[in-house]
Amino acid sequence: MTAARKTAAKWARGATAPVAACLCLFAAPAVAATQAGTSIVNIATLNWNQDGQPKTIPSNTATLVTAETLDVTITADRAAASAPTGTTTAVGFLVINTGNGSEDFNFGVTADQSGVAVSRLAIDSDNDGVYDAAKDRTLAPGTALSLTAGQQVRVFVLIDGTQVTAGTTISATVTAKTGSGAPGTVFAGAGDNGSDAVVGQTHATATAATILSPAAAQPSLVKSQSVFAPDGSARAMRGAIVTYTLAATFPGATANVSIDDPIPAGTAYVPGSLTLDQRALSDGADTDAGAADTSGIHVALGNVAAAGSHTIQFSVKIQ
Amino acid sequence: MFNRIARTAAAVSAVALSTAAVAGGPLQITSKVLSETKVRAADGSTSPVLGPVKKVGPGDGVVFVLAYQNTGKQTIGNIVLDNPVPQGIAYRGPSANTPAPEVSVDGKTYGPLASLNVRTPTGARRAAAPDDVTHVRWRLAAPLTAGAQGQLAFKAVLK
Repeated sequence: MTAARKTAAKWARGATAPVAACLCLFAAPAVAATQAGTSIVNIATLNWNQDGQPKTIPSNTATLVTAETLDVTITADRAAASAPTGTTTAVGFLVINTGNGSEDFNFGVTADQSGVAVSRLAIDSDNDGVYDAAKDRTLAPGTALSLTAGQQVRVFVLIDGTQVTAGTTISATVTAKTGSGAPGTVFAGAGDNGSDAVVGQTHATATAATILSPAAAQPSLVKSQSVFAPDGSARAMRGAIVTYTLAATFPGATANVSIDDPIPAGTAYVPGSLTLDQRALSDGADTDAGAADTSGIHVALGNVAAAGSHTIQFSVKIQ
Repeated sequence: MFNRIARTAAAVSAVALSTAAVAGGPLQITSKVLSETKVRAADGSTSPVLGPVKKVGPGDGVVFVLAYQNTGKQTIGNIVLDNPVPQGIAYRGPSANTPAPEVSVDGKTYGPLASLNVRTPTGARRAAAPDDVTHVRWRLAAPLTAGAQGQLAFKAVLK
């Protein structure tokens, strides 16, 4: 199906914003490496026949202790973001302990523009990639991130947009507390279970940046679709189910928001398929935020806080 | 590291511990683990040198060395050395000067790696890879005369 019809969104501030995709990347966990501090024990056996009897003796045990590799990566959720005056912008950074031990990492943020203030650091506690002032707990400045091997955490840096100028760069750096530097640098006995800690290929430190611009606080709405055909393919054929995803983001606080989307010609709404932020909404025009019928869907979001985002999904069947 | 209690005992970390060989019987076997480090010569070339393990992390190479000796007075034939590959270790191959061992991916069937296969999660079979090896075995071709000794070694990496 090609004739995607226009999606209408209304909000109190008026103008429709340019399309801006929200990239929420989740890096795959590191390949499971032997845990730091693990003892590896080797015992061989010798077997032979003596006087017709099979004989076996074991060797001594040869033991080695797995050293802790200090490795870390950091990725900015977005390479560029707008930080409008009068709003607080959340910039996310995904930190992954790619080493093989439990490690504390220092997290530091710098801005290359004087006066740009970091108002809060927060951990994405529910790991949904979206900043939520109520749910995401504060990371006190100077507090290390404690991550087990392979564990990842997203840190939101909240920026007051007042002093942001075009090109203001926010850099976040993570560094293993045990030590960092040239790969192969050894910190004797500083690893898990008294093993040696050894700096890995990442130098045990990493930096990522997001470039800010002081654009106006414009909401954006991005529509995408996925097709599931009866034969399991993604061909838009008769009987195929098309699921539309409407991702609305609101850099600034926005009042009286509602989103409408007509059902495309040649398709029929799949009853009960309307969801808001992955929670089902009833089709009837009742107490919940959504309503849907054969002509289209309607979701009333009301007043949305700054740095908010909502995702609406519904499905249609190709006739 | 979260817990630094162990730090005072730091000096013992990652040391290849070795206890005395098991005595008794006319045969003895000793196992030790070494690490292969590249040493740069004056002309800039590098050559691998085996030495005691100082620190090994995932991906680092190690060499398991098995030394055997006939301490008795009789020649002994049909000697088999068997080395289950330890947990956390991936077999890579025989060391220089060591004949290729027979290997096994289940501890029952032994042979050259190319002759073995493993069952995949879907129930199909595929050719075995060095990572699949669970046991390494050598059958000594010649009887071991009284007082004779030898050494076999295989290369591996830490998973």
